[in-house]
Amino acid sequence: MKFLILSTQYGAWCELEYGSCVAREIAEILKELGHHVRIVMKPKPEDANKAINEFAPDVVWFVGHGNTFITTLERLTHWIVDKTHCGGREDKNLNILKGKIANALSCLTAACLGKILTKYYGCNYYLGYEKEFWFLWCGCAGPDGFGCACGRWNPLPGAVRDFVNRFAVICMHESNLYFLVGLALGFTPEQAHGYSLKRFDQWIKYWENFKFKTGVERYVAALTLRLLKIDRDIQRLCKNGEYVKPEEPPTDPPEITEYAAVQVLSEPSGANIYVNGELQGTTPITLKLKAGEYTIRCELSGYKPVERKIRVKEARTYIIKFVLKEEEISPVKMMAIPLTLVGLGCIMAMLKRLSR
Amino acid sequence: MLEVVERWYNKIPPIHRDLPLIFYKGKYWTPKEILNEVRKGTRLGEELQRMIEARKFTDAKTLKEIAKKRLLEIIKGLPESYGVASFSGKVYTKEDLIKLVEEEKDFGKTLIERELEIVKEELYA
Repeated sequence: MKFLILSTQYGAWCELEYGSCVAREIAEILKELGHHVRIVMKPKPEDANKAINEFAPDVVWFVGHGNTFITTLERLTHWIVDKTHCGGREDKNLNILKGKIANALSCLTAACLGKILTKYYGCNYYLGYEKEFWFLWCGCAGPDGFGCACGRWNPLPGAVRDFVNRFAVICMHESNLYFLVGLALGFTPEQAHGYSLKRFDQWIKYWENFKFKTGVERYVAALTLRLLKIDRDIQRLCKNGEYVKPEEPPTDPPEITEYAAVQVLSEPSGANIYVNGELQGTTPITLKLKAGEYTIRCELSGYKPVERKIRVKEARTYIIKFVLKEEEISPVKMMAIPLTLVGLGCIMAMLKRLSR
Repeated sequence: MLEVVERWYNKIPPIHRDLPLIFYKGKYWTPKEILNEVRKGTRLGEELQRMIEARKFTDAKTLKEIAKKRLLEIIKGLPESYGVASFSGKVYTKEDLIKLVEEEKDFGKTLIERELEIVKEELYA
């Protein structure tokens, strides 16, 4: 598949220590899974059109948020849709997303756009938010008066701040990331949507069972949970102008734990997986590993065994894919999705953007 | 049977066990309070137990009031500087949220509708 990433935020995301859905990182994951990826940073409308026409992607991913104070993808998509909608004046842009799957990491970019794109512009599928999504806000105002989700201006240290960090990471990134990873793993769009919703459900479960230590933690977590449920409910996949029900994905996303989750895939599947020489099971399998370095070996009768050393950090998710060949050892495909549970760096970068 | 109430209680997420869920005889009851009362074996406890066993609680209007009360408790418990925002630029402070929930307007209405679903899920868990 060909993935085109149109990102207005890429520059800022480069600074992130924990960016869970950094365009650059998801691009690497997609490439490692054997897909073609092109990234266009801060595209002008004509740049976006050119890239879509020349690269002919299967999936167009709009990355950016809809804050109207800055140049955003919202303007870009507005341009694509509205300019193509006015009676042929801009025919060159008509049906620009025809035959593509579009995904938007933004509330304004996404809100209600799915129906329009799929119904009138021939876009095959569109995953986004039916309405804008919401997140917990810690309101030590930034320079422009708009809030900082948290970060260095956050007056509350420690665990409470972590709540906000975790929540923002989830809402902004994870469901989108898992949708794209699902597509890259060969799921149908409906299955990839189910894959991303399962991630939402995992986070909801996490918050429901959260062992709060103080009253403040309890109330912050409770509100977080409600916002998360609202946001899950408005994440929609659209086809032919109508919302499509998610399907059960063939593989569950890795669980959210304090361990690293290492999802091991192989082609073909059913291969034995050894971690430091001990058999763990057969692919596809998700390993829970403590932080450290491991040797992962993949063996399947009739194929050359493949081995790979990996270093993992706790509370992160990794995907390793072994491509097995009968005659020669294939390169090991390893992807790391740094889905941190505490994305302070992520939030700080977000604050910068919001405060511009 | 106490087991029925305990089973019901255990299905309620831990983070919600101290939030009001039932209105009975002029009082809002949290799951934790209900379980304690049932365990004590008081008459009131027996009445609450029967409600849970029969899954017969209250009318829609009262359910909405319960939902609002829960939300207000959560929002009032937030630190002063916390609120809710969206990437469109909308920001609601704690005070804004309290007002919106009390008046059932705008995002306050969304929160109440969602809370109502949570209340129903937990009552009929």
